[in-house]
Amino acid sequence: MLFNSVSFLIFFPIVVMGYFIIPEKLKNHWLLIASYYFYMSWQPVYALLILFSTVTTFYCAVLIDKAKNEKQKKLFLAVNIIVNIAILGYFKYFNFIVDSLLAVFPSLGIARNNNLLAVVGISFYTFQSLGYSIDVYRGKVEREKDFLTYALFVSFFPQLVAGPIERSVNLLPQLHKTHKFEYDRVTDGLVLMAWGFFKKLVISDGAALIVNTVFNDVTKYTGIQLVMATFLFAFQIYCDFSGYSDIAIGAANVMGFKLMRNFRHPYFSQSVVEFWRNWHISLSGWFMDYVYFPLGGSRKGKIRTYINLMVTFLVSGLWHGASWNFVIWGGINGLYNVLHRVIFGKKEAQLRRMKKAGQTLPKTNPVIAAVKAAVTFVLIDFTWIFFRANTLTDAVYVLQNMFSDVSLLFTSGYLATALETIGYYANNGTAIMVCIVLMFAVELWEGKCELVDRINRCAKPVRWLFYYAVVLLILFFGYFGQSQFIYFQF
Amino acid sequence: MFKLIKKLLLFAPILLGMIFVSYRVDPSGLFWGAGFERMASEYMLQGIYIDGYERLDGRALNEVYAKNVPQAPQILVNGSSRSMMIDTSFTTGEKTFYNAANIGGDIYDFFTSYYIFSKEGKEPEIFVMGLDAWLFNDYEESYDKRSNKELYYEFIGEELGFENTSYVADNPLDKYTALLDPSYFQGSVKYYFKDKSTEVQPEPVPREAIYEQTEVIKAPDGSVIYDKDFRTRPQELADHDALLTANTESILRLYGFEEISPEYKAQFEAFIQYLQAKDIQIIFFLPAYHPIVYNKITERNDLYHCVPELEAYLRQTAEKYGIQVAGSYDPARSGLTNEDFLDGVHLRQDSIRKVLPVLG
Repeated sequence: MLFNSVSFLIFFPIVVMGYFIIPEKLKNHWLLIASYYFYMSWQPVYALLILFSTVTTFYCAVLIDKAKNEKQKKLFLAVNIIVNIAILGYFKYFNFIVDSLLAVFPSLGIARNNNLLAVVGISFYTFQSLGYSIDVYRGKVEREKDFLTYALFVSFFPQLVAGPIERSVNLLPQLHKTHKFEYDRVTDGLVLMAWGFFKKLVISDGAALIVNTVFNDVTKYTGIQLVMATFLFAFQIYCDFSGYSDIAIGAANVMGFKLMRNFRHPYFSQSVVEFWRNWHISLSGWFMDYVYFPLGGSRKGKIRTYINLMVTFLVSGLWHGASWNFVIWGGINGLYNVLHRVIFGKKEAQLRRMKKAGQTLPKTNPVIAAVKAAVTFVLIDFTWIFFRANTLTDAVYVLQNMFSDVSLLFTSGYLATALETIGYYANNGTAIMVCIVLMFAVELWEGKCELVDRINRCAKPVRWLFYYAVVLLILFFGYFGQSQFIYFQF
Repeated sequence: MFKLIKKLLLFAPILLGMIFVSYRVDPSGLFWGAGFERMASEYMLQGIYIDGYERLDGRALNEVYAKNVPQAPQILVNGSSRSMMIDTSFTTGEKTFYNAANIGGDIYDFFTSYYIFSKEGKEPEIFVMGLDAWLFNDYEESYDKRSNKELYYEFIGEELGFENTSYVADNPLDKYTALLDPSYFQGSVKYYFKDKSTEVQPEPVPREAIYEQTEVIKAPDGSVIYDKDFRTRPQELADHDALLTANTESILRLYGFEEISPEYKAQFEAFIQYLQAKDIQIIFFLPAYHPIVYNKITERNDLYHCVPELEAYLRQTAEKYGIQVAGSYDPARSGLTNEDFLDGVHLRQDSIRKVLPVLG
C-alpha cells in the first residue's frame, strides 16, 4: 500500500480513529494488526519474513540479556546478525552475487534464481532489528520484554518500508506510553504529511516523467538533455525520499509518536561531509554507529580512518542496491569524504577545538556559502548519475555526452527543441522548476527549526495561506499515477 | 476531534471548486458528451444545420442528443446510411422527429439507437425500423467497429431479459468518481486553457445553402443531406456504382450470410413485444437494392438466399404483430427503377418517399 494511493487515504484515517477510540491496553495490538495489514498489502508472504526476523531478533536479545558472560553474549549477537544478514543477503544479493561470479567464472555451474521475491523494505527493518540487538548487547537499551511491543517496533507501518530507520532507544519507550488525541499534534502531523505529499507528488513524480524518459533510453539523448535529466534527478530522489520521510514522520506524529528527522536541507550543505550529515540521517547515523565506529572510526590513525570511511561508504552503496552502479556511487562518495579529510581535515579540527573552547567561529560570507553549496550540489549530482543509470554503460554514456552540445546551446531554438524532446514542456517542467524554488524558499524560511514549528509561529492568515498553497499546488501540479517511492527497492 | 473536523471543512471550497471545474469542463465528455459531438448537438438543438459530418461520431452524437433534447422525439428512425435521408419532411409536421440511423448501422446499433433515448426516459410514439438485411447476418464482417457492443449487451440483458455472460453491468456511479479524481481536474484545467483555435469544430450552414454544399450536411433532425455532387450525379455513374457493388466478391455486408441468425431473430421479436408493450407504433422500412444489385442477389441464390428469406420472415413477423411494412429489398416490388438510386444501395430521398407512408 503506497502512501500516495487511495487505499492509504482510506486506511490511515481508519487506523488513526481506531487507535484513539480503542482501550489503552489494546492500542499496540491495533497498530500491530494495521502494520501487518499495511505490509501484507504488497505480498502476504512478506509477513512471514518480517515475522521470522522479529522472532529471531527478539529471542536473541533475550539470550544476550540473560547470557552469563561476554563470550555468550557475543555468540548470541553473532547468531542474530548472521541470521538477519543471511535473509537480507539471500533475498537482495543472491542474484547479484551469482551474476558477478558468473561474469568472472562463466563455467562455475551456479544459476540465478529468477523466482526470488523482491521484498519491499527488507533493508530497513533488517537494519532496525540489527541496531536493536547491538544496542541490547552494548547495554544502551533494555531488552524489550513484551514480544508484541517489539514486533510493533519492527513493523510500525509509517516507517516500515522506507524508514526513518528508528533506534530502539527512541521508539521503544514511546510504544509503552499513552497517546491521546491532541489537536495540535495531529494538525502538526497532517501539515508535515501534506508537505511530504507536495514534495513527492509535485516535484518528485513530475521530475520523474522527464528523468525516466532520458535515463530509460539514454543513447537517444545528448548534451543539455542529459544535463537536465541529471539535474532533475537530484530533486526527484530528494523529494521522493524526504517526501516519504515527511509523510512517515507526520503520520506517526498524528498518532503521538515522534520519529527521528531524516533530512535537514541537504542541498544547502557546504561540503560533501556536511551533505552526508544531513541526508538520510537515520541511515548515515546507523552506519556511523554500527559500522564506522566499530571499525575504529578515526581513532586508529589517518590511513585507517580513510579505509574505514571507504568501507562504510562502499557498504552503504551496496545497501542501496545489488548492483555495481551503487557500489561505485558509494565509492565515489567515500572518496569525496576521504579527500575532504585530506584537504580540510586540519582546518575542521581547529574549528571543532574553537567550538569546544566556546570561541566564536568566523562567519561565512553568504556568497562564498552559496558557491560552496553549489559546488557540493554539482559533486553530489555527479554521483547520482551512477545511482540512476540503469547500467554502468549508460552511466558512462551520460558522462561522455553531457557537454557534447555546448556550442549549439545558443543557437536559436536549439534549447527549446532539446527540452521539448525530453518532455519538459509536456510534463510541466517549468512548474516543477518553480516548485523546486518554492521548496528551497520554504527550507530557507524554516532555518534551523522544524517546518511545523516555523509555521506554528506565524499568524493565522499566513498559516492558512501556506496550507491552501500546498493543497492547491498538489491539486494543480501533482502526479496522481501512484508511482512507487524510489527507496522501496532498497 | 470536532475542532479538527471543523478545520478540515475549511478545505471544502477547494474540493467543491475541483468538482465544479471537472463537471463543467468535462474534457472526456463523461457528463456532456465529447467536445465535437457536444457542439454539434448544441447546434442541432437550436435548429441549425452543420457541416463536419465526416469528423462526426454519429453514435456519440446520438447519445449526447438523447441526453440533451428536452422532450422525446415522437417519431424515431433507426437503420444505416440507407435510412438517413428520412427527415422531418416525411412527417405530417405535427410530431417531433429524430433520425438516429448510423453509418454502417449493425445489429448492435439497431437496438442501441432506441435504447439511448429510452434510458433517458424519452420513448417515441412511432418507431421506424430501418431493416437492412445484414442485421441478421452474424458473420463477423457484418458488424461495424464503431457500434457500442457493451450498450447492446446491457439492453438485451437488462431490458429484453437475454442472458449474456460477457456483459458486466456498469456501475452508474463510476463516472462520478471522476469528479473526485485530481487527474481529471488537471485534465479539465488543461483543456479549458488549451488553444482550441486549431481544433476542427462543426460549422453552422445557412438554411438557404444546405442543398448547395460540397460536403455532407447534418440536419437538426438527425437526417443527412448528401453533398450536391452525389445527389446530382448522372444516372450512368449511379448504375456503374451498382454494377461494381453487384460484381464484388460479396455485396455490402452480406458475406457469409448463410443463415438468418436465430439468436437475432429471437432478440428482434422480443424487442417488438417490448415496444408494443409500451404502446409504441412500429413501422418496418426495408431499403431496396438497385435493380442491378438485386438481380445479382437473385442470380446468386447460393450466396444471397438469405435476403429474400429474410424479407419473407420480416413480412410474416409484421403480420403476426400487426406491423406496417414499407418498401422491399426487391425494387420491382415497390415499382422502383434504376433512376431511383444514387448508387447500388442508396435510394434517392424522393424515392424513399414513394415507399414510406407519411409519418405521424
